[in-house]
Amino acid sequence: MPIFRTWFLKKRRTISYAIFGILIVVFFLGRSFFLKQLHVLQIPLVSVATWTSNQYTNLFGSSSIKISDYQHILSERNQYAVDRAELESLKLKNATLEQELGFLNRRVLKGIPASIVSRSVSNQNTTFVIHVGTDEKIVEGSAVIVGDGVYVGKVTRVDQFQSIVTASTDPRVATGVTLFNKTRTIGIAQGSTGNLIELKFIPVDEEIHVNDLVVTSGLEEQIPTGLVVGIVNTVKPDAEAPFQHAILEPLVDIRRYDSVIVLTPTDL
Amino acid sequence: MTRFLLHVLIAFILSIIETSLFASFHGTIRFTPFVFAVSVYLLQHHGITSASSWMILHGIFIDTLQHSQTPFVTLAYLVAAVISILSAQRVFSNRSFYGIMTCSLLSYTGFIVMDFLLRLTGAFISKYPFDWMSYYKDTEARYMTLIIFLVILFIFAKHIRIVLAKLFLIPQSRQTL
Repeated sequence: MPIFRTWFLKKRRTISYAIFGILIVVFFLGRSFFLKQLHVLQIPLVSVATWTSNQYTNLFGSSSIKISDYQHILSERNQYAVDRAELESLKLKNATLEQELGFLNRRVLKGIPASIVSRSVSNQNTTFVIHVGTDEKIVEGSAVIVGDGVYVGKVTRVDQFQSIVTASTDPRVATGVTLFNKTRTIGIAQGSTGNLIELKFIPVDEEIHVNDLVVTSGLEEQIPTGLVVGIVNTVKPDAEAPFQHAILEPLVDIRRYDSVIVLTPTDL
Repeated sequence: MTRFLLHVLIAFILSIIETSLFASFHGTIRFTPFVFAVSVYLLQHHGITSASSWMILHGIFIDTLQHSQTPFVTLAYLVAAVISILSAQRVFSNRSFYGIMTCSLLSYTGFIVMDFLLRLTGAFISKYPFDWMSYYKDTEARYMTLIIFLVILFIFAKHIRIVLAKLFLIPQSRQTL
């Protein structure tokens, strides 16, 4: 025993470096498992901060009407938007089904609830980490929603136990969308600064109006049709360019939520 | 070894507090560079040189998560740690509020410069748009919250010293001011 003690004391520095190296290797190999253990701490912290901020905004935020009335109107507006999107989607589906009798291309969506475990902080980029990953069959590109079907972003990276979601307001994310105008204009919605979304490359002959509802077009594999993306806030026609563009206002602010739903399509 | 593990544990806890708690608040408070502020404060005011490793470990943590807006943000934290160690040991006074503030602002400027260069390189390689105005506003908010947070830490210096002594990060003899 004294021999071991002497040897240990002599080689203490080398042993410390060896243990340090082993710890680094273990950390990188068992990264997913390690990060999963951290969720126990992260989820309550996100919930506490989100709740506190929401309460603060409700109490001290500028308002000319009662907070409860405002919340009621807001939820009603969101519900109407979702209902309208569903109605339009059903109309379109009905017309398509009538045209293509005998052809069934239906997808059942499975919603996986997920808690937000951490967020990035920037005025330009909005990403957040959720506590579900490939073990819950989340795939890259899956749509992420809140409430009854308000689209907030898509999964951009998946690990075994967690995924990174990039919000629809982030300039690095583009989503195929349809406008509920007369001609059902299809476009690409890309995030813009100030928590807004920009709709680009719309031909000048397309009619777009303020308050037009914008929903996902379903042209992307993992994103179903009819999820509400936002409403048109400003239309910017350019007399010299062949295209016009519009600014969309998302219906929800993701910073006010501590949990989301990830849609994973299951083919029938 | 125990001290090393203690440092790793503290760094992870601080990192989680910054990315989960502070980042979930609304408004300017979410920009608080919590880990950086705590590290530099302890390094400068309490002479805990190893506290500078916390910000490097924080960088490794968010790089591992691939959660940072800046690619290889650990490099920026490394630069900040080197500047803060050098300026704390050779330039600024440990006792005064002025010393803490200037050391923190100098090392944070080092961090911002490196962060900016890394982000610019990232934007150039990935061909994503880089919004100067947003970056400027973010930086402004970060500096502001850093200053406010340092003031708060300085006010509670005595209490912090007691906690540090209990955690064996400083000798018991340095418990009182």
